[in-house]
Amino acid sequence: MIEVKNLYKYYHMPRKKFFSKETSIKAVNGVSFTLRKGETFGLVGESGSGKSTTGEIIVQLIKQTSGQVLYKGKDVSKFNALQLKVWRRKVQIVFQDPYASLNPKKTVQWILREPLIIHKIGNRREQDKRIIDMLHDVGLDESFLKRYPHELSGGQRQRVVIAAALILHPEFVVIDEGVSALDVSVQAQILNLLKALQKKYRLTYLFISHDLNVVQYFCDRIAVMYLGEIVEMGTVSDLDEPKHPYTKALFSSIPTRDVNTSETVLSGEVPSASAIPEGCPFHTRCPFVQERCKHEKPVKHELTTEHTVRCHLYD
Amino acid sequence: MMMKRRKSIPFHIGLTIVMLLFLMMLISLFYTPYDPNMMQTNARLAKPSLEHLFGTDNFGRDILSRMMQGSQTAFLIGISSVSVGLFFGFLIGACAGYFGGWIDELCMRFIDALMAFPGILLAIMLITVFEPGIKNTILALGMMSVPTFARIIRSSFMQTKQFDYVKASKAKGAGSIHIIFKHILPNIVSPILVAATLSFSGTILAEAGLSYLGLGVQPPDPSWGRMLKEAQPYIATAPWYVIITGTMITLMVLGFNLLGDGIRDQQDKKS
Amino acid sequence: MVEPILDVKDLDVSFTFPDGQYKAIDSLSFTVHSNEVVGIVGESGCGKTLTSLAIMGMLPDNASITNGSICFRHKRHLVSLSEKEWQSIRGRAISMIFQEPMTALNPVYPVGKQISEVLIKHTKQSRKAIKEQTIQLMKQVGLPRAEALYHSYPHQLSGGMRQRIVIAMALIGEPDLIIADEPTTALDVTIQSQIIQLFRKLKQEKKVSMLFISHDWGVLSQVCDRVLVLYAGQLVETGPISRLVDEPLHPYTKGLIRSIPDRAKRGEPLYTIPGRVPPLKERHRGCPFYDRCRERMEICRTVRPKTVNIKEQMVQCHLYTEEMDVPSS
Repeated sequence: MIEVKNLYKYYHMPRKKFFSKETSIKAVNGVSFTLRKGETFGLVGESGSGKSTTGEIIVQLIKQTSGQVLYKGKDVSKFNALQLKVWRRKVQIVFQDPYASLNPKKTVQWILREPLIIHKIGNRREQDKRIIDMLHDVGLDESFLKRYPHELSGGQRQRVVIAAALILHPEFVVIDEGVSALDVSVQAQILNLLKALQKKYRLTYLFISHDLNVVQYFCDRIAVMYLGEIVEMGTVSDLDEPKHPYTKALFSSIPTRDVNTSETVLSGEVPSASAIPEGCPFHTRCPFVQERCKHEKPVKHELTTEHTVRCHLYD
Repeated sequence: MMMKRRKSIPFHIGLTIVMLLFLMMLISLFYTPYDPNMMQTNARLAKPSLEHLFGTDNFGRDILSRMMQGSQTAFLIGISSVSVGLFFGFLIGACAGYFGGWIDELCMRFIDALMAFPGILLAIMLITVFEPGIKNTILALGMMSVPTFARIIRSSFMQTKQFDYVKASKAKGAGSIHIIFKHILPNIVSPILVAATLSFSGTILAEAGLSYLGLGVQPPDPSWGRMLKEAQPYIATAPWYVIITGTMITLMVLGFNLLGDGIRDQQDKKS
Repeated sequence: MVEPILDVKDLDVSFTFPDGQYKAIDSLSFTVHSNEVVGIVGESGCGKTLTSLAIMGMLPDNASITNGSICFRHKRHLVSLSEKEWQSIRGRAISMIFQEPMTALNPVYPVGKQISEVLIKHTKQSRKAIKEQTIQLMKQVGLPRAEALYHSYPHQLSGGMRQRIVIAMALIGEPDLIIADEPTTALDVTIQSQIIQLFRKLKQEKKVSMLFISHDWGVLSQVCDRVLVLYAGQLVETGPISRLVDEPLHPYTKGLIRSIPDRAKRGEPLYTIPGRVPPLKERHRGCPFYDRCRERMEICRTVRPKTVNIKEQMVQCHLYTEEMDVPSS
């Protein structure tokens, strides 16, 4: 349904000294994947891996440096204002922090009506009906209409955020850490809600998260990002047996109830995105590093049609 | 987080002073004890008495009446020049803060250029190039406050722009105008209000200063600043003239300052 | 039995509002023994952080201890100390590790100075000896090139390094008790597991005693010996971590554990606890969990359950009585 092709996003940093070389931060560094209708595609990685940037490029909140986001074969970054507005009805984004996602000065009703007004949908009465239906869908009722965000709990806010995203009946929703700020019990409520809504409205989700437990539970397919690149991608069961050394380390660092698991603790930290190592970006931390990893960039290997990995170990 | 919306004492004092002065201005529109410009040569520099509560000036004009009429000028100049400053400040600050990039650079360099001159000097320059009078005083004082407003509005815009609800609205297809007026503006009203209130007192002080120098409001329009100047030669013989005029200006400035501080305190408490 | 380092008894902490006083922590009792790591778990608004602030004597202005006692090393009664006495305890005898390492560090001082601050204030050692001791400790918490890092500023370090600095700051005074409030929550998983390893090493080598606040059962399992489950300011269950994870007794603990998503639960809806933690002003008599409980009975609405010992666990719930050995359900 949506195809991301060779996406790059560079930010240029101002020079520190007049004659110094201009540095650039490579936030997204050649990302390609396809989203299929009705699936939940997970994008995981540590901070600075470029997962959120990728999400914001897809909804065109920011423009890519190069590469394409194709919707039904058309490049969304080349859309004119009118086409973009139509596109915006089909794709929505839900952010992490339910406290920052709602305008504190507006009532729930205003917040839910806003998208309908922007897109001039229905008259006042039709809008009201749609708003109330949507509230019911996310497990709230009419009594919330006149409330302000500060009167709601974190879970209720996130429900309102989801209602506001779905009221335009989009086909595709980017969920950027949408449940990370919530308590476990509320998080479970919201995850169940998202699943139910997905069924009802036949939604496609791009689920961006750093919480591997949630991603492994919630997603159909997963792509693992490291320093702006997808290092491994496959169905969720493919990734139960991860192949890339980074994915292995990442998944084994999930703290579990078993204390004496022989986890591979990665040494060091993620290098800065303004100084990505040459060759394989992971070679500075990889336990299986070889000489060629330091110079040669590994290519993408298809282990199966679904499961791809970018590592010299599989040459 | 658990503070009740309790207003501070300074806020109340400020509000009371400003309300009283405003009331005085309203009354003066319909009634003053004497005609402010009527000279009574037989009662020059009369001491405050029941007849003339604040006494009379060197031409035998009733000081209370002139004070009351002068408050009209003070409020007129205060409100108009704050509006002028706010209007241009908002335009520049909003563009700079919302769009960022080279537009921000351009706007801010312009503001820097304005700030390079001390405000009051800028006002004096503008007035000497054009001519003294209420209209030009307003414009000059308005220009003087543009940089402050522009900077406050710019930074509030940049801060609010970061919030996810602005991003989310954008992702829903909202245009810039919608985002500025529906999302950003309602959330930055209070810092603007504080800045406007504080700027009001600054403007009144500046107007008094300009008029004292003879550059501001011209006769026959009454002005507190000019009254102060007129009172100066009689500081020994008729001290009440100076004291009353000075007190009035001080009260007005103090009132607005307390009010502004009070609003700010409240807003700090809320966040 | 050995004397506990920290002994909290019947602690009540109340907030004062214009319309009255509300109990945010309600008869909380627990102990921390030497070289023991005790976890505190619960949703936000259950009083985890408030408990730690009460022990540190850093309660917000409108909160106060209204009942109970906090005994530290058996003699000092922490409830009645003056601010002056507090200052000699904080950092020295009890120290704290905060969630967000960036805000816990002062951006204008080199990190080495910040670590050694406690020593400079409280001991009469020479500057040189202090610096050596600091660098020694920085190496122990896994900071490479400690000599060079000593002079660097917080913004020059990565998140994981900053948290190591914060941990070093907490350790330098060789405190009897460390309180860590969500110390790994702000970190990436791979860094989190490094820090968890560090905590485990510190427990083994430095014999630290800790109160470890977290919402993540995985992290708790890795570092804690015992866990306290707080709900709406009350201790609803406590016991060894492995027992709690494998056989939780209280319906709230059960709910918390069962609602954690993981790959084994793929495809099925998650277990949820309906509703939310009751706000401070809406708490009533009876069991605090009554509104959300799936196993509630009539008695729960009005009568507050007593604490029941079952094997090594203690649970505050009407489903259990003292005679029971094997948990039902």
